[in-house]
Amino acid sequence: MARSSTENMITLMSSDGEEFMVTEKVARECTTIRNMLEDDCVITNIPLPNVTSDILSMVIEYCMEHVAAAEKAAAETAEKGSSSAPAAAKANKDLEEWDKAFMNVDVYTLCDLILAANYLNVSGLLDLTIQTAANLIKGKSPEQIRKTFHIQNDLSLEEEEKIRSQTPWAFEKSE
Amino acid sequence: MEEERRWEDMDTDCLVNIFRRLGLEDLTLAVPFVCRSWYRASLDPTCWRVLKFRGLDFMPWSNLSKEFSNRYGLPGRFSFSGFLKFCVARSHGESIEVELPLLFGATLNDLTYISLECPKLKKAVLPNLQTEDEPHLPEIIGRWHELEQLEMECKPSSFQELVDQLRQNCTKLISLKLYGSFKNDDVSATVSKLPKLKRLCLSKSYLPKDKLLAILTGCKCLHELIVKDCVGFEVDEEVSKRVLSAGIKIFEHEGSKLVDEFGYETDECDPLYVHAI
Repeated sequence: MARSSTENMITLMSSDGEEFMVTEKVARECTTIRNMLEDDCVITNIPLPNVTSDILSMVIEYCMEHVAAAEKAAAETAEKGSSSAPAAAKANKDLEEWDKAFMNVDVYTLCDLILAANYLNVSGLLDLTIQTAANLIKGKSPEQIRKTFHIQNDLSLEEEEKIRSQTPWAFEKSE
Repeated sequence: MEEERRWEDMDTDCLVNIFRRLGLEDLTLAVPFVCRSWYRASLDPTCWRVLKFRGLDFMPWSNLSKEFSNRYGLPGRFSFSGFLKFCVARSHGESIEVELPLLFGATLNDLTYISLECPKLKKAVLPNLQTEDEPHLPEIIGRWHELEQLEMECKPSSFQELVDQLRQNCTKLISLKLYGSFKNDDVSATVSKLPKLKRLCLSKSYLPKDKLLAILTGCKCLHELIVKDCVGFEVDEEVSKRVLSAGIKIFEHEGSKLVDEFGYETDECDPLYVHAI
């Protein structure tokens, strides 16, 4: 428990040159960084050319929250011998609520967060962002989806016709 | 900066990852028509790994039926079989889960088609079949060598052959769900030929206490036994003890009773009747 005070600090550098000091434990939430640290344990400065500072700060915020929640749960288990089910369920629900609030972002930020979570391989954040995007698509028409995600339709009429007509065998003949 | 963040330029792997979480309605009616990159990503077979037809409305007047005909507007009639073939073709043999509609949908031909085109299925949720089709069921299911979970409605007349097929060809099967009247032969076949089952759901069955105890003794790997709304047993001290000693973690038996409301044990092989009470 006291380990965090003596823990190594890692500096993450965003594509626009901003530096973020985080504990090794938080940095290890990113599988990509964990692998780097395992290959080279003296590394303390990691440039992340694919992630901007505004997005990196959000990824770090997510990782810190989840590390803190896991540490709190572990501390409670150590204290009481076993974790009490209602307390654990409440902690889970609190974290879910936090995640939900964290996902209150515009679709551009969501897009960047997905790419960052994918690049840094933060499985929890990737899962959360991917599910958020899927929920935004569900039940919508192509037009509504384009409006939601600010997408230009670049399908030509010919291409659309091709998509429409590619599976004639899927229909019964009407005569 | 703003110019760079565009959803139409989204990484294809990420798009595919998102599309995997969509249902078949979104995948067929909406996503391909959004833009070029989304259409291309929607062709990835892994978007179509879970083919969940149950819960969709295939009636001619349904929204799905109308929209599908409208989108892929061709001279011809929308049918469940057509929609099934469309989705199965998109999966290129990669689908791992199929859930078929309970009623008014899959025929024997459709099932045969799926068994040939989807060899990697891990989970199959099957509909009620016509009685005359039941003899073909064991052969069809036996083609799914990767099958881990099988859910069906009424126990088919070909249950003994089915269990033989499952033992021979579906060696990874760990979960089975169906209902019906369980007699000596059925229970002894299940116990002796499917010893690896971890989860067994026989809710709404006729299941006498001695058969329940035989399952508890015989299926050594069982973690989960769901026998809700059954007729033929009541959970007494003996059953509780045996459940405990068998190492069952989840045992659900709400609504099960020794005799039905008419005061006699139902031993008619009429699952619909058992279902109704």
